[in-house]
Amino acid sequence: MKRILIVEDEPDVAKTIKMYLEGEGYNAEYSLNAAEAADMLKDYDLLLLDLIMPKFSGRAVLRDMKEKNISKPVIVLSAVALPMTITDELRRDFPDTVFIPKTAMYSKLLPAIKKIIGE
Amino acid sequence: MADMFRALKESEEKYRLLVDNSLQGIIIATGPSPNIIYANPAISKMLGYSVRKLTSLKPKQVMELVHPEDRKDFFRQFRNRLSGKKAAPNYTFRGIRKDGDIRWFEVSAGRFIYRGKPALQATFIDITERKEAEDALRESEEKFRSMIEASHDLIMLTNIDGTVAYLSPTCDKVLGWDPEKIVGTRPSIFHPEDSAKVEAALGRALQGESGENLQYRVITQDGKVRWVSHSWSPLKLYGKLRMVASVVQDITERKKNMENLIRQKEQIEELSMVKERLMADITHELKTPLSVIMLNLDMARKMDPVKQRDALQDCFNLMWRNSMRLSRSVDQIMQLTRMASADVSTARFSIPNMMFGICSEYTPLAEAKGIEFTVGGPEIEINSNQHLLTMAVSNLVSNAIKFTHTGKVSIRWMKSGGYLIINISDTGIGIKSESKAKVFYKFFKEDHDAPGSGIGLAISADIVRRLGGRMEFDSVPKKGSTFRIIIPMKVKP
Repeated sequence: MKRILIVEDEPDVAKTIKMYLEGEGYNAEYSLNAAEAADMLKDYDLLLLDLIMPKFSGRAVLRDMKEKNISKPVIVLSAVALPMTITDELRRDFPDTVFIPKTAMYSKLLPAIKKIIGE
Repeated sequence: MADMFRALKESEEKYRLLVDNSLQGIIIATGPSPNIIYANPAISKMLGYSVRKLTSLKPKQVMELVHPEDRKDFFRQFRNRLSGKKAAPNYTFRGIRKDGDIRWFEVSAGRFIYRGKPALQATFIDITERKEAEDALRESEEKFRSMIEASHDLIMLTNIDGTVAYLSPTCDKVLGWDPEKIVGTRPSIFHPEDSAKVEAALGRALQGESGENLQYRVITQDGKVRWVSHSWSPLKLYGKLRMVASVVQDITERKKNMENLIRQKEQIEELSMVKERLMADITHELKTPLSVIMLNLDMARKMDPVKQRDALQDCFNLMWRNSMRLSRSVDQIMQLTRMASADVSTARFSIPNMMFGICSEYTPLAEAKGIEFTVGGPEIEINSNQHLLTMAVSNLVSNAIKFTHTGKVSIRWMKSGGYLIINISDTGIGIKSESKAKVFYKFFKEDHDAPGSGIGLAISADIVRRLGGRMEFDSVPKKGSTFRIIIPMKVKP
């Protein structure tokens, strides 16, 4: 079974996504602590990453992964329409990353996951 | 003797030939009443009278050939010279032609004896055109001079050795220097940071280059700094540089206005950035719970209400809690707009009751993060505005939970003198000392990626001020913070 790691500081959001993915037949876990995300990733096939978090942001996780040379597919979730400057920067530095607005998760999350890691 | 006469006659004929054909007007006259005994064709042409007419003029008529304004002087000179007294070698006067035209003449005369009587031979040159050209030149010079002297800007002429030849009277106003202190010198009145630039430009100017709008600072005589704009062009004569002409403008005010404009523009840009960030933060606050509600709804509608009863219950709980949060976020955003006009009506109310209300609202949030949340203090009743105080405390509690990841958040209150003191403490990330001065600013956030709008603290501080109190805080980075609300037990009306 494919394993998905959710890194999200909002417990309700994390819990909901976990329930949702489990319902679709994935093995999903979440972490509220973004700082340890990169190190946890080796046991997972995909990372669902919240961008705006206190202390350790999603961008910091992506940079951390790059530094530690950890290469796993990433879907970035954001509640905010990001300014072009930030999306451009992220797309340039992490070209394989998929972006999904949080309010579009119900329709876009599953197809994106299936496309990346399969059923 | 016959030879002598012949020689004399020849000499006379030679002389006559000479004066008759001269281009200059020649008259021979005796006095003291002026009587023309000879006039050559040139003077006849100049005055418009025939030679015969000129030599038959009565003395009064001769005098009328001279312009009334010059007549007295002219004939005084005539009489003086005739009688051998001292007279000007040449002078100018206006003559009147037969057709009434007035012409300028330059005259020179020599005395000799004619038939035993003193006579003058006078030579005339018509200088009317030269005179007109001189007048036109003088007029144009005066026009330029008055233009230069009336000019707001400083006009300067520089010699080819770099010394200043001329400064117009506005020197004082433009450069703040007495022109006499500068004319004749190679000025050193420039700001030290700009003098190299000015020297280089002067070098180019003295090579014959022109230049425009060179901006630099001068130090005035009394030590002030002034900005000027300097444009110049070479004055050349027959291709050779003679001087450099400059226009120097005082642009101190313009510079100052420009700087103000730039500062204002920066402020506006900063404000619009703050606004943009606020909008993004508000969006984040609204869309996060909304996304939870939507995803749970999507799950719930696909679930079997009997077989998946427990999972369905989980969905409903999440939806409920996030609807509440959404509603609270909307309230908080409304607070912002309402704050400006909120009235501070007061009533008696119980602090513990108020605190337990806040506690029941925030406990689920704290529990979800695994944080301990405690509330405690004596029974106290105060006379204040419950709605506003609840808002102020809620914002601080919400912040405390948001920025605490392990440990606890607590509310403690006590009475001291005529004041109520409320401490909201956490074991969260704390506030860096360099940010401490700014935490009460609206929209201030230590970390741009951090959640929340950055207005909670500012709103709380604002409210506490309205309630007649003040806010304090202690914070140790990575250890936690304590925010303290101190308000009077009774708000003064």
